[in-house]
Amino acid sequence: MAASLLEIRNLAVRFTTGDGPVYAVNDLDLEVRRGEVLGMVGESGSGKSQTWLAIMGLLAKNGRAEGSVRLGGEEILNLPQRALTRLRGERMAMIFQDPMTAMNPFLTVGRQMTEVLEWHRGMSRREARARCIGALESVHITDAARRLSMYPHEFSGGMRQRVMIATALLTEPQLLICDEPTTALDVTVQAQILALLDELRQRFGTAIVLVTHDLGVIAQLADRVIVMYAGRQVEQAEVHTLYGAYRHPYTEGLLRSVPRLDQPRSARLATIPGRPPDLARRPAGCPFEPRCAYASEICRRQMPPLVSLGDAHLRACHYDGALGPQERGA
Amino acid sequence: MIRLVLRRVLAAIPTLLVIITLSFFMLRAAPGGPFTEARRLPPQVLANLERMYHLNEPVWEQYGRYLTHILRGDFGPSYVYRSTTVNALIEQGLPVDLTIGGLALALALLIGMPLGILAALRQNTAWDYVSMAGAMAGISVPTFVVAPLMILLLAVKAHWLPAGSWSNGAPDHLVLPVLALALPLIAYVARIMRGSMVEVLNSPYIRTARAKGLPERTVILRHALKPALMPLISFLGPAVVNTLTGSIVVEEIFGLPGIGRFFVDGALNRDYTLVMGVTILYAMLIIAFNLIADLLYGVLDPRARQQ
Ligand SMILES: Nc1ncnc2c1ncn2[C@@H]1O[C@H](COP(=O)(O)OP(=O)(O)OP(=O)(O)O)[C@@H](O)[C@H]1O
Ligand code: SF4
Ligand SMILES: [Mg+2]
Repeated sequence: MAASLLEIRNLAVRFTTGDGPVYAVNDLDLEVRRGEVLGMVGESGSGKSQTWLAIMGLLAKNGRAEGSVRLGGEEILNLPQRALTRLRGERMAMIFQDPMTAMNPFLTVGRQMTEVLEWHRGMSRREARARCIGALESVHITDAARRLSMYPHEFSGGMRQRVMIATALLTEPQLLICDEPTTALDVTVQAQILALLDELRQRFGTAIVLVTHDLGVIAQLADRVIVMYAGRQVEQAEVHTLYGAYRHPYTEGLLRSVPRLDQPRSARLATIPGRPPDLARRPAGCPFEPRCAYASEICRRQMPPLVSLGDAHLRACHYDGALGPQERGA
Repeated sequence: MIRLVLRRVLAAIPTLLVIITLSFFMLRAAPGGPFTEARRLPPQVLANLERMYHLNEPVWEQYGRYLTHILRGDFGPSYVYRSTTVNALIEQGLPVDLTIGGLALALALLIGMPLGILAALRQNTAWDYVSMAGAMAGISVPTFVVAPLMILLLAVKAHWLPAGSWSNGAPDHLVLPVLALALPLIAYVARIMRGSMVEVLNSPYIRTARAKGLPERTVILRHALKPALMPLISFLGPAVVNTLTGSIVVEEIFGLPGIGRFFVDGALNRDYTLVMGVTILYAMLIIAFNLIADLLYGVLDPRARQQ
């Protein structure tokens, strides 16, 4: 098993709002190993983005992170601004969902790339430019030199995301966090971007965190998966284990709602009945209980702990019996 | 760029024509005339005056004559300030308005922009609340209250500054009128700047800039400032003209010989040519400054530039 790169212990993210606290992430324990692709799935609002924004020190002003996050053994949670400028974009980078709005419309693509090398590597603009041309070529953007002087609005969505990836990798960070990197793109472009991430991960050995609510994306790229529900980790497993032998009712719901070709795109995730819970309240029992077909008395009273099932498979659920497909298979 | 200017100038011609026509006939439709208000003139004198200024001709002929004069840049004689032309009055008054307006605007940008930016950076702190409450006050208390108060406190009581008059634009005579004119502008600029800065700082591309590890100073100066200026530019186009025309109150209170005063006098005395001249001037200013604002927009925003 590869050595761990990022260790998250007891991470909690809480927002202060006019209506009281919102508990966006709770008791999160996980690790990212060197060079792996770790997927994180869950419905909208399950705390996926806030987990990684907290780690990057990018929470909104009303957000607080607690717990411990170690990168290569060194504590990085809640670092002061100065230290963050040496960490972000240098040892870990993050790209976001909508490449349309994630780039500054007022600056050339070149400027938005070279500034990374100027700041982190102390390069001159000239040196940086030369490096950026190479970086664009490595994400298969042709005519790179000319495109550096163009503005983001002159690029297509897919190209912009390639630029974002190229920019993130300029400093060869150990960790690349991709928050819904393909959600805003159409299907063919989505496949190209995923293929690109796979290629780069093999070339640079960068560990990649892939946040998405699309299990199809996870299946293509990830080695391991974390399933999030209401700010909690409910299941963790290797990808093939999860698809073949998941052990959490919520994972089952997610898998059942993976889009099929005969269904419109908008139909995904529509098959888990009910809605995610209100994060302003902290239920005593299992947060999935109101929507769970397997719920019993204990589920309402007691929060199920995350326990190991062996084989790097963990889950948080009281139910011991067989889940849906196993029944159907029998 | 040049094509944009040309197109806008061409488009301005019909606009101006409509303004000229409307104000021309509305003025004539108002009761009374330039020589009926004051003491009654003997009929013979009145007839002579009207013939001299072609007021005895049919209104269409007057309109045609006025248009041909306008084309030559001639706004005609003033009926009230009998010995001068409207052009001369504008030449005399405009520099006064440009001076206090320009200074007030510069002051507003110089103070309002940093104020707004700092308020945005220190969002929801005491600094933010105090400066924004101040701005709210600056906007809601009208000039005709603030200006006399300033005169009372700083001129009459403390004797620090002169209470009024132009004195050929001597600096100490400028301070109070410029301040009075600038106060609401500072407030507007600060509020707009704060609002747009807050919005830009919450935008995804600022998060990207931070995720790249750039120091906060670079994030703000390189990534946030320019986009945050855009709403200010849209505001400034009309605001510049408002400042120039809105100085009427300030001119009255401080006794300054600006255009606003002539305008008021002219309107009260049915001085057709004077009122028309100032109206056309203001219309041209509005068109010009909106064009300048649009051009500036294009220079700053690459997306607008392309179109
Ligand atoms: N600034 C904030 N103030 C209050 N609540 C917030 C704030 N930011 C996020 N939240 C809440 O935190 C919860 C988790 O949000 P998060 O962005 O992590 O969801 P997500 O899993 O990434 O969902 P999505 O798939 O929609 O991106 C949400 O319920 C959201 O409403
Ligand atoms: S703990 Fe109970 S309610 Fe929660 S997922 Fe398991 S069976 Fe369902
Ligand atoms: Mg998200």
